[in-house]
Amino acid sequence: MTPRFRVLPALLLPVALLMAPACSDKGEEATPGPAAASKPAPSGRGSGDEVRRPHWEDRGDSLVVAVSADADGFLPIVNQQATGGAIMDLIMPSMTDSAFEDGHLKALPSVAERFEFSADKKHLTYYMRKDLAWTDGEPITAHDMAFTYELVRDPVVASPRRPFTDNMDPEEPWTVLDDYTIRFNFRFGYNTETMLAHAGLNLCPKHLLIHEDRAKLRSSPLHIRKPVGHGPFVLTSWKRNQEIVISRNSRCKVKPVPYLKRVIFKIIPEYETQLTELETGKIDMMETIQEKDFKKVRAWGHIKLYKRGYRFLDYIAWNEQKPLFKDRRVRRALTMAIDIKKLIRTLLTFDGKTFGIQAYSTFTPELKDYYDPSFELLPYDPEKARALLAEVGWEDHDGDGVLDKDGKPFAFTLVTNTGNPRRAEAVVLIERDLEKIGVKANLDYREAVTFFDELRNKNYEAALSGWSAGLFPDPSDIWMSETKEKPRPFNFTAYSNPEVDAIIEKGLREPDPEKEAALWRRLHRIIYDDQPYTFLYWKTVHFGLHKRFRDVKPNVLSVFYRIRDWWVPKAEHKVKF
Amino acid sequence: MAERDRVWKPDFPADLPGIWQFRRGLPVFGALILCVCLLSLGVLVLVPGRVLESLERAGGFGNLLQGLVVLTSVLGMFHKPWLAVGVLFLAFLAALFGLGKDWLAPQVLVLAPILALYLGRRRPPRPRWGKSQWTLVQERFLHSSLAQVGLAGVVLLYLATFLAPYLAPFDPLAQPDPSGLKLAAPLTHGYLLGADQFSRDVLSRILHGAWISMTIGLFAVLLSASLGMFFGLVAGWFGGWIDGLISRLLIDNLLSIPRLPLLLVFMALFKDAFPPQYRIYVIILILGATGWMGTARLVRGEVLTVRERDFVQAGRALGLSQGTLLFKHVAPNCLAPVLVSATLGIGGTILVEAALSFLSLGVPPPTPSWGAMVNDGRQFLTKAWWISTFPGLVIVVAVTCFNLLGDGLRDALDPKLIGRERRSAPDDEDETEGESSETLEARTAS
Amino acid sequence: MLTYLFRRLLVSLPLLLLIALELNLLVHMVPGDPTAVFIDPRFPPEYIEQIKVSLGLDRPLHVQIAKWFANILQLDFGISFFHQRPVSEMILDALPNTLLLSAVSMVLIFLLGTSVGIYSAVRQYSWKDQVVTVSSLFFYSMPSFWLSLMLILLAAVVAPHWPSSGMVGETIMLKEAAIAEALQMGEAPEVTIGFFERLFDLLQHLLLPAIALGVAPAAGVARYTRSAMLEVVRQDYIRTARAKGVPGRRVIVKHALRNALIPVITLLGLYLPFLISGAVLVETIFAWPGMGRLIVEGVFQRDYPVILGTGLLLAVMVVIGNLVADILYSAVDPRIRYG
Repeated sequence: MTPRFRVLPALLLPVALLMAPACSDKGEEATPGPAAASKPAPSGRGSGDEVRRPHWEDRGDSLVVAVSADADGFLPIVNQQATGGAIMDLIMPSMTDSAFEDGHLKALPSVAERFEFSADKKHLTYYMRKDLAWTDGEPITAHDMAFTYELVRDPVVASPRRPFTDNMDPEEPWTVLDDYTIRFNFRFGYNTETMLAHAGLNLCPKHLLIHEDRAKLRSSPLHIRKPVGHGPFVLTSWKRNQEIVISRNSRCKVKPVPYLKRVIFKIIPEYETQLTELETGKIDMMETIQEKDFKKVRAWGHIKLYKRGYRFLDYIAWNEQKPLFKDRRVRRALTMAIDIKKLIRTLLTFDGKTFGIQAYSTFTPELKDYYDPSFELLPYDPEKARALLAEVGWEDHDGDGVLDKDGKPFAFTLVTNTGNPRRAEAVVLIERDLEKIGVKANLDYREAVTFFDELRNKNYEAALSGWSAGLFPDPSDIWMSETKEKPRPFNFTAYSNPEVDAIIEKGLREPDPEKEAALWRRLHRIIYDDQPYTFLYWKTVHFGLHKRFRDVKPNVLSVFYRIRDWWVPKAEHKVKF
Repeated sequence: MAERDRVWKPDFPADLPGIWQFRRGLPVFGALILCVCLLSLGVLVLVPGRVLESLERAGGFGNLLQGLVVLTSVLGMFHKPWLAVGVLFLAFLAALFGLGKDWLAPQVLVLAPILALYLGRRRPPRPRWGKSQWTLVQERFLHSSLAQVGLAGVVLLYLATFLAPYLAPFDPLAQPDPSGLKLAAPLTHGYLLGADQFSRDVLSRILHGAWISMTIGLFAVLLSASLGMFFGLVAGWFGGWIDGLISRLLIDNLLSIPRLPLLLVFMALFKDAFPPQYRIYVIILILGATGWMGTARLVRGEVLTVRERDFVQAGRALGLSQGTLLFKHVAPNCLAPVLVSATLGIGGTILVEAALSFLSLGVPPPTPSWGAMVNDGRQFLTKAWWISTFPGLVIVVAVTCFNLLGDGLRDALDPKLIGRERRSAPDDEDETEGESSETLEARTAS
Repeated sequence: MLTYLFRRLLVSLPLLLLIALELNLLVHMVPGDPTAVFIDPRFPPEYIEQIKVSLGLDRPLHVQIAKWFANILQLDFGISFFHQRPVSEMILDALPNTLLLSAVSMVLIFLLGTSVGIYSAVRQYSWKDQVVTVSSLFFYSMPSFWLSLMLILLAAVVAPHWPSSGMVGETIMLKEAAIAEALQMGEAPEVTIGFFERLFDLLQHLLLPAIALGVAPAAGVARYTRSAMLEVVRQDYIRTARAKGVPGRRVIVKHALRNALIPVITLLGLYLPFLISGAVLVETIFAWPGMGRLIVEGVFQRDYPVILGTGLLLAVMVVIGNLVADILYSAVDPRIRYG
């Protein structure tokens, strides 16, 4: 179950990678799947009648899921889009299987019968089952795993999973001990979760991949047409831009065979259309339901809403390379001028319920260890903001309602990406707030590709963007200073603070969880003081699923977590064939 | 001399715009013209405080100067039309780039040329007997009640554009209570047509949105009509390789790519080259630059017939220069179809602009624009139908008005044009084909 | 005739080449990096270079363009950056869907358009004519995207179960999945899909987009037909027929109609490119997997091969469409001969 295991930065997904026009939250899921949660998910609303356990006869029925974008492909080495990643997880075999029990991440045997860590926590050895075979009949061996990682490491492939191998021994990252035993060798001792994550890529079939052109792996039939795997499901058909059908793999030996007979991913770009189809029962599940529709959805009666925790952060990045935002007092003033509470009330409050929380860092509040309930937020105070700006020299000298300094008005362009209604609405509200203190924000929208380009090249003034949550704290990509050797394209604001650099270095190596948490808390304060971002809010995500499905236990990051446990009582089966 | 004096003396002391139409028994037309002139003058004269204030805010002296230039040139039109046109054009350009975001800009921009064209029109000597060409046109135009409805609609639309700040019950950008009044239904809380997701008044936004659509429609078409006129004249007049170059290399080439995909690429190319507050000019330029081919074909066909006429031969014999002949004598005779296709083109351009805005490629928010409003309401379609429905309806009405007006003009300007049979030779790409492919373009684009 | 055809096609070739060249230049000028979709945090910069190499973007512009032309001559449209599939395959996936939708709306356009046009021409200047004229103008002025939304809204209120997205209903989809599964396992499928079941389902899905796509052009055709009809009715031979005592209906149907439809039929050729490009917005709104969506996504994702492939295809269709218009014209009008 690879993507679930991916270690940080990949978890802080660039929200800008939003592709198709007009869809609500697709962008946030544009990179392969979310990583492992180190914490249990907050308990989902109504998880069905727990009393009854599924019987053999309850096997069957189909699940139709609406997704907003088509998959890119299913080869774990090169997969990048969310839909493809989620499906890949279900059709490719993996060494271990993740589970959340008692609030802890557990790895259960899957292709690996068992696994063990060396005493110095530098080696991880998998002992694989010997009776498994790919769908084309070839046996699954340790060489498949070794070859998968060889491809990941090969620069010609340009695999997005390459960072997995960064912390492995550069000389001998893995050793094939025999046909069914493989050992991964790490550079330093790590905690076991990280090691499992790094060495947890889904296996790929060597006997087929060996014939592929490495530079063209992305257009290999194994990726985009006919994946060969050994997962709980197999790919049955893929009609581009229409639907992807995966069916229960009854020949799969490693896992309890899923109860559901098939899962269909139906591609519906339009949110409103998805909702209508959910209402009329044409689809069973929507990955994201907007808060404004909760009341309506509850009123239908046949859809249950499941909460996935605080998953998305929206923020305004102030480009510190622009003289306008160099002074941190200016940034603080701007933050104080924005009524974030009002944003939350307007955008994230519906029918008396609030689905957002004011943010102060890039760490999701789901990380309870690092979350600081007593954190002191900057107040909404336009007067103070004005005073602070006046201190810097920004005052309305010419009486035209816009602040100015040396004859130049305080005006800048605030960009955001197209296709995300929430952000589009947020900028409009923010523009009003800023106008009240005499700051002129010209709004602009960019297509995702251009937007992302501009952010990375720091070719913007201010941008409303977002991150989606990761549950591993590695803020280095966002907050560490850029150097010649180590460019940080994701440090959008050109933020640089030696103290922050030092804390991050230290925090990443800190074995003691208590001390680590303390370091991160300090980091939050320093960064918040500098206000490179105006942190807006964290927002929960809810998915809607037909109530006939039982034993659905969602977590913050993965919708299809343990989908093979989902079942429907025989009497409620909707699809009988 | 005395004879002439007697004939030319105006027999009504105040030959004000609109009045003489009354006297010629064209009351509706006269009333409309009078209405436009009085109201638009009223805007300029009766609210000087507002005007001055906005001028100042928009950049002070420079813009005041522009305003003066515009007004002087309007007056100058009476005596030196061509000079005035030159000055006006310069002022126009200056206003286009200087007055940018202020609401006054479109008023000056729209008003000045209309006033100028109207007041400065060259009045042909009134024939002693019979009726003048324009009177005939007017009478034919007024024969159709639909055309009058179209004219009235267009006039009302432009009036609404000028007067939006006074007509709109609310500030189109104000969000009185984003959390409490969002998506308020029509006829509640003082919202006639409901509120959008920010509690902004849909009616006020539609009124202010007229600004974008009407301005872009008018100026993009002015641009494309001028371009089309120029290329058509040149191609038709000179023929030979120049014609080949223009017809094949430019016209056929640009017509071979459907307009919306072409616009998508163009917008992607040029959209971000300028700051967002200048987006409207980028859109005007792009729409104008991609919309002239139909007109050019029309004009070219027209020139081909006109240049064989006797008066052109006479001009040649007199030794008039090519330029004089072409732009002074041939061009006015090709104007009728251009006027018609331009009027229809404004409607088409409004549709295209709406489509661009619908794809978020239009004028950036929070400036209201009809297409963007339809797009905004898309995610609330079943929850708050009014956000999408009303702006869309206004688009339809506006475009219908322009089409009615265009139809009426066509019938009035050239009665032969009605259903004139297509010429037989396929190489002779005359107006019939040009027109149909043009309307088709507008269709597929939207 | 054949020589004429040949000559016309030959003349169009340089034009097409020119368009292809322009498209190439334009596409490479557009800001936005096509590799952006591959980028991940912590993605080493040299990998971006590597991806550029594998996409062929590292080479100088003229080499890229030359290579593209060389491939086009072998009918190879290249491989989509984003989907990593051959563009020709993607076009072949999308084209039939668009053709189906366009064909249905064309039928709608011409049937509805001509009949409304004839109706109002026959009753010229009556109040019915006025009503039809005004309302057809009203529909003619309607933006298709707005009409689509209104149709969806209407369907949601009137018939909540009416499909408003995609082209296959959920029952058919599930049955197809079951059949595909059975085939994969080498078993006999449990379920079958009846021909009429499939047809009915398809028609259901076609209805709304076809209306959204067809109404405005149909109104245009109606206006066109009306004026053509009026023109013909004024001709001498019609007057002669009437004078001769041919019944009114027969005059209209037998004599006038046939001649009036000539210019209308030529419109068919002009609609041909539209048939291929589909309606970008309508397809997006109704999630119809056709060419329109392919084009828009291509532009938004900076997927050069897709933009170039579809762009060239469209240009070819425009050229062919003009040709077809001329040929149709000569076919219905015996006075015209091409040599």
